[in-house]
Amino acid sequence: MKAAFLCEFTTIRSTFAQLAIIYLIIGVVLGVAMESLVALTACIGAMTPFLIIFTLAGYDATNGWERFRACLPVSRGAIVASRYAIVLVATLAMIALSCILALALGALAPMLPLSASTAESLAEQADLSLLLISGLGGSGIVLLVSALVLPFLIRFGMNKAMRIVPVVVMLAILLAIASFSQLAELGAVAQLLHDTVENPASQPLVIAGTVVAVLAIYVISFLAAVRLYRSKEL
Amino acid sequence: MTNLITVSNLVKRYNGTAVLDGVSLSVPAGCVTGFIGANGAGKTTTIRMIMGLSKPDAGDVVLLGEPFGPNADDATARRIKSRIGVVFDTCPFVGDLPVKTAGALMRAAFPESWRQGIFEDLLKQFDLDPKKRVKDLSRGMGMKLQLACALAHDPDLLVLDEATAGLDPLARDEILDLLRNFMASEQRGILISSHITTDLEKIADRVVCIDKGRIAFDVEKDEITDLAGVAHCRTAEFERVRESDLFAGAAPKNLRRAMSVDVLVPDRFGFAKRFPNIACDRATIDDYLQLMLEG
Repeated sequence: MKAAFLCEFTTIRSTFAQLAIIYLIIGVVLGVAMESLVALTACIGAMTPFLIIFTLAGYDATNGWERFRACLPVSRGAIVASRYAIVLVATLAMIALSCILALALGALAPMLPLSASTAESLAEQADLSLLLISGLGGSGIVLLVSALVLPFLIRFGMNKAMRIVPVVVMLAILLAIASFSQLAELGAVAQLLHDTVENPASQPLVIAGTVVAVLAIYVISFLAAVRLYRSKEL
Repeated sequence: MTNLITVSNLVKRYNGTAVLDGVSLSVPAGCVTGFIGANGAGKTTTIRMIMGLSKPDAGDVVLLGEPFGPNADDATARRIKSRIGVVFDTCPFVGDLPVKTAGALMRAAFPESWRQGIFEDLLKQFDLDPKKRVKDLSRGMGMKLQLACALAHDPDLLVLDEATAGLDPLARDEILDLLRNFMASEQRGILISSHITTDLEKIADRVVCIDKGRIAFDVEKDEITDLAGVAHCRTAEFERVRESDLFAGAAPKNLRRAMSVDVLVPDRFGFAKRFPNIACDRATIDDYLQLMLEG
C-alpha cells in the first residue's frame, strides 16, 4: 500500500503543486469577489477531489501507465486503496492550504485596497473552525459524488466511464430527491433534523457525524472498487 | 534447472473466440527465451497473463516458483513482482514527468532493491538527460528509460515486450549487450518478445513461436541457426528430397518460390552429405518461422 501510494503521489506531485497555485489564486479572487472566506474554502474543498480523480484517471489512460503500474510490486487492492487515499489526502491538504490562505486574507484584508465592507466581511469570517467546516462541507459533497464515480472510473477507465457516470449520477440524484420527498412526509423526523442542525450545541456532533457518514460511504465505494478492479483486464 | 516462468495450458477467449488455446512455455534460469509470432498471434496476451494483467479462462502461471495471477494478495504480488523487470513497447511514464522523477517513482515502488547508482549510470550510458520530460523523449530513448528502470532494481527476471522496437541498430546492440551482462548470473532469465528476429539470433537461447494462439514450435535457438538449413531445390530435386528418410516420415516444410522450392532441413550438414548438389543455406529464425508456419 505504501509503495502504491508513493507511486501515485510521485506521479501527481508536480501537477498537484501547479494546480494548487492556480486554485489558490482562484480562491482569492472568489473570496474577495464574494466577500466570503467561507466560500473560498468551500470552493477549494469542493474542486479538489474531482481534480485529482480525473487527473489520475487521465494518466491511467495514457501510454499504458495503468498496465505498467500493475506490473510494479503492488497488488490490485493496494492500487485502488492508494487512489482513494491520494484523493483524500490531497483534499485535506488543499483544505488546510485554503484555510491558511483564508486566515491570511482575513488578517490582511484591512490593509488591502478593498472596500470597507469587503474588508470588514473578510476579517469577520477569519475563524478557523468556520473555515474548516466550510472546507469539509464543500469537499464532503464532492467526495460523496466521487464515491459514486470512482468505482466506475477504476473499472472502466476514463473514456468508458465518462459515458456511464452521468447516467449513474442522474439516477443517484433522482433517488436522493425521491428519498428526501419521503423524508419530508415524515415531518417529525425532518423537524428533528432541522432542530439538531440549527442548535449550536449539537453542531459539532452533526459535523462529526457528517464526516463519519461521508467517510463510511467512501470506504464502501472503495470496497466496491477493489472488487471491480480485480476483475479488470489490463 | 529451475524455471522462472512456467505457463501451462493457458486458454483465453474473447467473445467466444480463443486468442490463446493451450499455450505452455517456460523460461528456465540462465536462459533467454525469445517469443515470436505474427501480429495478433497471442504474444502480448500471453505476457499479460504471465504478469497477472489478465485472467486466463484456463491454465496456470507459476512465476519464480509461486502460482501467480491478477488476484494475488498484496504480499505475494510484492514478493514476486519485486523480482521482475518489465519493459513494454511504449514508455509508460506520465509525459509531464522528468526522467529523474520516473526514477523516483520506481524507487518508491522498489524500496528495498532499487539501486539509484545503477539507474544514474544507465541514464549516463544511454545519454538520457534526467531533467528531460518523458514526453520529449524519442521512442528509442523512452525504451532506454524503461530498460534503465527495469535493470536498476536488480531483478531476477526480465519480461520484455517488443523492447527493441523503434531502436536503431546501434542502440539495439547496446541494449543486447546490457541484456547479456544481465545474464551473467545463471539465476536470471529473460522472456523477450520481438519481431526483430536478428536480435533474438544474437541473444536468445531458446525460441518459442506462437501462431493463432497456439505454440507452433519451442526449440533451442542453436537447432535453428546452427543446425537447420534451407535447401533450394528444383522441382525434380524436391521430389527426391521429399521421398528421402531425412524427415522421419513427416512431409518436409517447403515453400515454392519463383526459381526453386525452399525446404526446411532439420540438419543441414546431414543434408549436404546426402544431397551434395543441392544448395543448402544456414537457416535464420525468419526462415524457420516462415517455413514452419507457411510451409
